[in-house]
This record gives sequence, C-alpha cells and structure tokens, in this order.
Amino acid sequence: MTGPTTSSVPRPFRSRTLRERQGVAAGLVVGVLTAAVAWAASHVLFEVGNWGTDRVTAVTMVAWFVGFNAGVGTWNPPLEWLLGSTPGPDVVTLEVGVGRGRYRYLRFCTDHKVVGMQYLGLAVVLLGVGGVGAVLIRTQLLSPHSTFLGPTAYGDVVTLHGLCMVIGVLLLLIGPFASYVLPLILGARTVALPRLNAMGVWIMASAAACLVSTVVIGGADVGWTTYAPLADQASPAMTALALALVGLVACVVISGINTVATVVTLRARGMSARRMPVMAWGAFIAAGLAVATMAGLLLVMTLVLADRTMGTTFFVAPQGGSGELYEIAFWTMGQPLLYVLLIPPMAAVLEMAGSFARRPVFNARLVVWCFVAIAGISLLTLGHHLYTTGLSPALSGSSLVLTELFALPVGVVVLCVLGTVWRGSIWARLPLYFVYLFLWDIVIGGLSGALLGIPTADRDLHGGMVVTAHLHYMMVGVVLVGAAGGLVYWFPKFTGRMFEERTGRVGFWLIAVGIQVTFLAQFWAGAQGMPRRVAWYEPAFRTANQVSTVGAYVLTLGWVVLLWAGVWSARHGRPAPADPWRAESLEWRVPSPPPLRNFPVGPVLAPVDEDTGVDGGTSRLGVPESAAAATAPERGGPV
Amino acid sequence: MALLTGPDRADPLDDGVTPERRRQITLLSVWLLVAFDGVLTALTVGTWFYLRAADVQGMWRGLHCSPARPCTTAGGSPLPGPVPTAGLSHLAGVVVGAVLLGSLAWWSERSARSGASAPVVARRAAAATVVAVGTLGLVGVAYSGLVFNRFDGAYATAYWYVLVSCALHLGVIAVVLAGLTNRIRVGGDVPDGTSVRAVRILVVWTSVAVTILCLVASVGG
Repeated sequence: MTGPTTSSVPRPFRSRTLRERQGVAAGLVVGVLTAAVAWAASHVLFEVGNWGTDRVTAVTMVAWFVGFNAGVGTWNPPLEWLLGSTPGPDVVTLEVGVGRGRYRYLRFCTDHKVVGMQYLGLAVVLLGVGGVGAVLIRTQLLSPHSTFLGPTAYGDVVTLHGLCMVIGVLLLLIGPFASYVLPLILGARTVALPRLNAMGVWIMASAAACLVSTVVIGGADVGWTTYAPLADQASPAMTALALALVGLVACVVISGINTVATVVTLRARGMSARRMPVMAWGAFIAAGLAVATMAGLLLVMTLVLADRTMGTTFFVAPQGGSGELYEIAFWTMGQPLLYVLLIPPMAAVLEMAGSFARRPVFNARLVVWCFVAIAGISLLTLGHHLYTTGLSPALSGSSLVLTELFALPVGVVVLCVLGTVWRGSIWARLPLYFVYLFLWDIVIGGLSGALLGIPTADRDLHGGMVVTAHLHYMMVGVVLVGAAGGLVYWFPKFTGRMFEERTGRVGFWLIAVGIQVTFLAQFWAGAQGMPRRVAWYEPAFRTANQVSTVGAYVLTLGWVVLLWAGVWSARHGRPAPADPWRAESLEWRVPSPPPLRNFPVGPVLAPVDEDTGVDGGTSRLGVPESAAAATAPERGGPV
Repeated sequence: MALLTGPDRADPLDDGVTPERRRQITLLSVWLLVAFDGVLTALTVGTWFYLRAADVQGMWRGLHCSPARPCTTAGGSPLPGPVPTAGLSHLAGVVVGAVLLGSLAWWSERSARSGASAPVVARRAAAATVVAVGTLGLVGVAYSGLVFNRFDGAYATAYWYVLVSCALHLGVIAVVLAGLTNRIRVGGDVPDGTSVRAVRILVVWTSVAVTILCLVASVGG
C-alpha cells in the first residue's frame, strides 16, 4: 500500500506523461489557479463581513492546499489506493527519483534522503522568515517609543516570528534527522512509509505558504500560542494561520508514524533495542510523543476555525464559551511539544560527544530512561502555564513538583554528556564546539525554567521578559544550537563534502556570544520588571534592550555566516570520506553521500561476545542476511 | 552544488522490505493513527464536559434563561427560553448504525482471513460502505432536526461539533470502505489481506468513537 512493489499493474492510474509533469512548478500553477477560482466563487457565495470574510479566506486557502498538492503529486498514493491500482516498476522508479538529477528535490520523491533535504530547505526558509522577524522585533525595541514598526505591526511580526521559528525547528528535526539520518543509523535501506513520508513534506510546504501569506492578508496579532479569544477576534489572517497549523499537525503526525514504524520494523539485523544508538532512541521517543499529543493542537485549531467561519461560541464567554478551554487544550500539546523539540538535539549532542571524545555514550541506557521520563513528565505539566489563568491554588503544589521534577532527567542527561567527554580523547572539531555551547546554555535555560516553575515567582514573572529570555535560551541556545551542531556533524553525509570549519568557527563564536548578550540582557530587562510582547516600554529598560538588540544583530550575523559556510562547503568543500569522524554507528559505513538504497544488502550487526562483552558492532556489515542469519541474533522483541 | 544523495547504482525496485515486514508496518501505522484519533476524540469529549462543568455565565443549554432574563443568540435575537435538549432517537439510530458498521467490517475481515473468495469479501465490504453512508445520512437527519442553532450558546455549539465529528469520521470511513471494495473487486488485496485488516481496525475504531460521541451528546447532556 505504501511501498514500491513489483507486482503487475491491474489498472494504470494515470498516463506517465502527466505524472512526469508533476512537481513544484505544476503545483504552484494549479494551486494558484484553484485558489483564484475558489476566491471568486466564494465571494459570490458568502457575504463579505462577519463570518463571510473568514469563509472566503478558508475556502481560498483550502483550495490552494488541494490544488498545490494535486500539482505536486501528493494525492497520487491515496488516489491510487482508492482506485485499486498498484504502482508499477516505472512509477516506483520515477518516484524514487532515478535519473531526475537535482530536479528530484523539486518533485514528489520517495527517497528518504531527498525528503530530508526538502524538509531542510523548508526549515531554512521558515527560520529565515522568523529570523528576519526577530531582527525587526529587536530593532523596534531599540528605543522605548520607536515608530519603526508600531504596536500593531509589531504584534503581527511577533506572531509570525514565533510560529516560523517553532515550526522551522520542528522541520529541522523531522527532515535531516528523522528522515535522512535515522534510517542510516538503523541500517535501513528505506523508511517504513516512503510515500507517506514524501506526502508529509509537500503538505507542510503548502501549509507554510498559508502561514507566510498572513503577512499579505493582514497579519494576526495573537502570539505564537494564538490564544483565544484573541484568535477569535483577529483579522482573517488568523483563519489562514489556523489552517496552516492544521497542515502542520498532518505533517508531524505523518512523520511521527513513519519514524516510529521505521524504528520498530526496519532496524538492522542484530540491532536489538539495547544496541540501538541514542539518536535513534531520541527520534523514536520524540516521534511517539508527537503522535500522542498533536491532537491538542488540531482540536483547538478546528475549534477556532469553527468559531471564525461557522459562528460557534467555543471561546465566546458571553455565549458560554471559555478562553481557559483553549489554554488547557493547547498546553496538552504545547508542553510536550517543547520536549519533542528538545529530545532529538539532546540525543544528537550525545552522539557528537561520543564521536569526538572517542568514547561510547556514558551510561546510554540511563540516558534513554531519562528521555522516557522527560516525555512522561511533559504530559503532566501543563499546569505551570496556567498559574495566572485562575488555576485552583490547590493544584499549584502538584504543578510545582512536576515542573521541578524535570530537572532530574534533564540534569542526568547533561551529566551524561559531561561524563562522555570527561577524560576522553578530545578531538576538537566544530561539532564539539556546539556540544560545549549546548551544555552552557542548557544550564542557564534550565535553571531559569526551574525558577519559573515556582508558583509565587511565576505569578510575578509570567508576563515579563524573564519568560522570553528563558524560552529563547531553551529554543535557540539549546534546541537550535544542538540541531545546528548535528547538521554540521552529519554535513559530510548529506553533501559528500567536508564543512569548511574556519568560517564555521567564526559563525559559531558569533552565535555563542550573540546568544549570551541577547538573552542575558533580556533576563536583565525582565528582572527590572519589563513586560513581554510590548512594542513600547518605559525608558528605564532602554539600556537592557539596546544591549539585547546589539546581541541579536551579532547572533543573526553568526547564523548567516554559518549558513554561508554550509552553502560554500556544499559546492567547494573537500570531498568527504565515508567516515570522516572515525565514528562507530552505521551511517558512517556507507559512502558520503549514501547511494540510493543506502546499503548494498541489509546490514548485520555482529553479536556481542558473551565472554568479553565486546560489541562486534558493524564489523560484518554487508554480509547478506541469508548467510548471516544463522549466527546473528534475531532482533529483540518490542522496543 | 554537490548532489545530496549518491549515484543511482542500486536497484530502485529493491528496498529490502519483505512482505511480512510491510504488513507489520501497515498494521502498526494504522494502530498509531487510531491512537492519535483516540486522543483527539478524548479531547473532544473533554471539551464537552469542560463546557458543561464550567457553565460559563449559565449558558450551558441556557438553563438560567427565563422570561424575565431571556437568552439571546450570538446575533442578539432573544430565544424563547432555555435551549432544549436535542432528541435522542436520531443519535440512537447513529449508534445502531455504528455498531452494525463495526460488526460488518469485522465479519468481512474474518471471511477474508478464512479464505473466502474475493467477490464474497467485496460484497461484505460494499455492505459496510452502504451502512456507513446510511449512518452518515442519519447524522444529517439529526442535524436537520435540531431545534436550536450552533451559535445558541455553549451546549448548542458543543452538540454541533459532536455531530460534525461523527460525520467526518463516518465520511472518511465510507470513502475508505468504497476504496477497499474497489481494490478487492479489481484483485488488489484479498491474497494478503493486509488492507482488509487495516481497514477493519479503522472501521471498528470509528464505530467506537462515534458511539462514544453520541452517548456523550445524549446521556452526558
């Protein structure tokens, strides 16, 4: 149903010519045309004003979504299934991108490595838009009553910045890590659901277009949490934004299911759960957590859409609705989402620490249990976001305990990173720099989070810049830095070329200094009492804001330099060997970049020597499964 | 720019995934999808009970409306009195339809696994499709028979949402069942039966979800 087969074709779905024409260009043409027709038709059907304008927006955006994906070919797999067709060899060959050269990156392609790079491109675009938003925000805050943006546009930019950054980081983890690297780490020759995986990236691309279009259609001053009743009251751009988030849910759930299924079913022979690398565990737990919790976002967005386009009253208090309902439902997803974002970079940092300290990950099994604990606790801690909404004081104690409980597994993981590099044979390459920066930032971000978990402190600090500084230390200093380190680490595998480290180090130091200056200054402003999400502020906060803005410029320059180093290296970098870091895991046992099906045959891990405890690792890689089956242990039971 | 994946040396048709492994992948994926929808359904039920318990400004079903203090619609028009509870008969019909649907799907899968011929399985899948469409129609009848509008306060809004949720579940399942019937008819699936089993899991879950939602909207009102 989802993978290529060589069975006969009962009924060809479409002529090959049409399928060959599908791609981004066709998607844009069909999407824009469909949206234009829908826009004109909905103007006739719905009276503009009240719900009508939102209905027009919704119909237009849905038409764009359907049309774009039809043009790209996203709907081919489900349509084929419904029509009883099975993809023949020519279709499989076409979809996997054989002979398509670089154009396969602009098409519906089932090769997981291509999909990973498509996600990376999308993430870079969204992070770029979010980054520009950050620069605009900090420029507005350079002086107390700046007219650079003004309060309304400032609010719109804050919303777009927040959402683009969160989604961009999420895609960074889904693409290069879960889609590209994970199957290689597992020794798989493909992902479990290659066609579904390919559908996810194009659904997200069309949703991202809806998100960015909010700039054009009026902006939505609702913040990244899009709280109700603001979401009900905002301009029609909120309708587009809500639909974009529905698309995001579809993409994340698709990717999560694919990741979990890949880890459970496609691990190399001999790779029992105990021998699975930390990175694979991190991706598995984060994906499972995402599948379990993204329903919260889908629910609140559909309720917002119902309120805006159908006139329901979920969040209209005079009619019996409740904004608190939104907050509770949102944070059932929002709190775990933060750890969906945190766990994979943590795992990547551990892999990097092991590779550059020439040691196995310190207490890897404990690390995995810590990931499980983090995921479990995150499902219970929505309360600390609700202190100021009228949450019963009786619940403050449990919220405090659960929030502070996070410190235990997170702290243990940090200690395991330290334990991995401690007295190791350190090889100080650029990815290791990111490991050290990650450690520094997670201490500051984590301690400030522990402070905010205390109800009495949180009631005072909740609406202030301390929260902004804490969130950014975690999101930029920990998640983005960890992810960037991972991208540099696996860069030779992605491109077949080595990362140009001299320029990369310049970018790294700018980023490292920029993070501290930007966000420590925000702690300073918050300690002085500055509220967050304000375009204008009291002159007393001027110095802290000016320092923060200078830091933000330095930080932005750092990311630009790092991105430039990456683009330059991909074109002109030194050719990379298969294993430039002399690392142990399976992805380094294939050429850089990997060939179409990754491994010539299913890899087999040699068993652990029961007498000496020595792990045979991948020494017998490439032995045909049939020949090795007699000696290699069958994979363990449930993961 | 350097190519980001290597040369196309491997056989593109050989992804190394055995049919048994593919079957595991399909079933695991369906279970994960059901888990996701289960959480979504639970949150929908939670929304219902939250609004009911919060009873913001006495607007749950307009219980506190009176001739002296009339309830109003979102547009400000006065309502004659408390919003009445929706009738139970149609929802009871939806529940019966959902149970019948789940049973039919289960029966179809059992017959496929016990080696029934493709036309037999296809006929049973087609019957399930008809039941799904019929149950969807009952949801439509229940909606058209409402004595209030979706914007008449929290109860009306929540009730409408439950009906829409049931309709979406049944609509998706009707399409999937029609597709399955077609696949069996053209010889796509009976030999390994994976699709039949996967669809059965989805249909049975949908029956459970629709039943829960209807019970909440009637008994839990």
